[in-house]
Amino acid sequence: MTFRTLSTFYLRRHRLAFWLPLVFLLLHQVLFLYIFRLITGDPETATAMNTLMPDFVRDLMGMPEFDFRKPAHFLGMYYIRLEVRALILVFGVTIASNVIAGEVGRGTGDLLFSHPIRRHTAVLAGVAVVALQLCTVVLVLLAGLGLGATVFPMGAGQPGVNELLPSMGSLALGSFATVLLCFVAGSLCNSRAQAVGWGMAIVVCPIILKALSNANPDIGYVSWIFPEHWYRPHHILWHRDLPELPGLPFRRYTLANTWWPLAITSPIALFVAMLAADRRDLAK
Amino acid sequence: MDAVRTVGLTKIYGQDVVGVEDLTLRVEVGESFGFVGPNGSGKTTTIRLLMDFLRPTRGSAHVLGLGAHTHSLAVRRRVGFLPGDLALYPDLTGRGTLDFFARLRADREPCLREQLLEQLDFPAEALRRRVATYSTGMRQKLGLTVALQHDPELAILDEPTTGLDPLVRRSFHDTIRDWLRRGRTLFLSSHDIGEVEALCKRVCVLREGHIVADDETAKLRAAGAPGASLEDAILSFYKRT
Repeated sequence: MTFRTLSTFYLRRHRLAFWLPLVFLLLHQVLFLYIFRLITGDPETATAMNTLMPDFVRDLMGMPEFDFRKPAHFLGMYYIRLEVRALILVFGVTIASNVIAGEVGRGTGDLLFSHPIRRHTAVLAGVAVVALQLCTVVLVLLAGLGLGATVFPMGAGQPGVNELLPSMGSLALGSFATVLLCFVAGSLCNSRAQAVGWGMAIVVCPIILKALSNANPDIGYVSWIFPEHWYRPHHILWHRDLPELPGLPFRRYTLANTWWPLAITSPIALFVAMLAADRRDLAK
Repeated sequence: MDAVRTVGLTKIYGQDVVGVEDLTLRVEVGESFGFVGPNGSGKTTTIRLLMDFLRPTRGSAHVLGLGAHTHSLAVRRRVGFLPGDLALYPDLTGRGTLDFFARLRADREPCLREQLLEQLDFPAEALRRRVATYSTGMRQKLGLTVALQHDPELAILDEPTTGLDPLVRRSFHDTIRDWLRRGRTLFLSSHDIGEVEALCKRVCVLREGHIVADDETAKLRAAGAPGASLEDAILSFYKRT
């Protein structure tokens, strides 16, 4: 009962942060497909863009053979890797920083936790709201791409459900694991600003480290502890036309090489966040 | 059964900042208990230990016969709490605030809500407004209603009338007195000695994390200089070294 009350409460309090990204996502999908049509409709522009793209940017992306004309490449770079993930993570950091650290910082935690609520229930309620948004984002992405592609078809090589679904799964799992680490920070901090700061560091540092390690494999080892290292929704799309990709059967669809570290990290991060919330002193 | 019992309760912040030290205290069920002391004497720390917001460094605390930490959830089911530095959700309406907190106590009906709102002279129209638009007095009234609406067995109130005008303060006192007639227990922390005298039968004086006096209000007053007020008697404990 308290779980439902709290999750509904968090959802209501952050309804704008919940719905705005989804509206943005829908509009962005149309724009994205339209831009792709413009690029591919003009071979000279597409060739120029491919030529002008510096090698180091390709290296940072970990995709030396990137081609703007390929729907999967374009989708992987502009859509799944950046904007969508940013939207999910901003919402995740917002909720994660609010549940314990925000309550303590504002002082509302005193009255809230004087009621019969376990602190970890508050963490779980926040996590449930983030999970709900993740599911909604994935649904909007799939539906939007499906509908959008009928208006602005991407032509040959357009990713199908077989590619998009595992990509979205990886997107959801990777983002979720990152957000859970933000919940750990939120459970330990004494103010929302502090928790947002740590949350942003958890989100941004691995992206930078991962990009640097793409460009310089010598420092690749530094990024493996972060979910970002294992988060590769674009991987499926970018390598969809590489049948020689080594690995297990159905690897492409199950992401056998990427999901298990996240599947282990996520419950551990959730457990630590709950434990930290329960064991800490509620004081600024 | 005791409403509150602490044995050797100690809270040290960091390495050496003493919140309270070796605090042994007993409040009986049905008692109205005043907890006074200068700023930084450890009143709020004690209350936060009882509410399980803080974990003790040493010692134990029991509320209504249950361990404050080990049975924290069961304790909080039976206790109403008004924090000293009350903060409410500004985007909720007054009614929304009361409903939200009532839902968190699904096992108990907010049976006293309407009565409390009436006694505190809380305008019905204000319940539809957002808390952000409330004055300090209105917020305190709402906070007290949140704390008492489910008719708890014990109310822990941390400086409930600080910053309120005398009229609002009087309505607070009347409401709490009415509630006490139901045989409930009050644990009141306050800087206002007059308030403690008006509401409490027993007073405990805390200084630098230690109890320096603990007796019935009348006896403490009598122990002071002839003709001295309770305030004079208690203030003398603040100063003694």
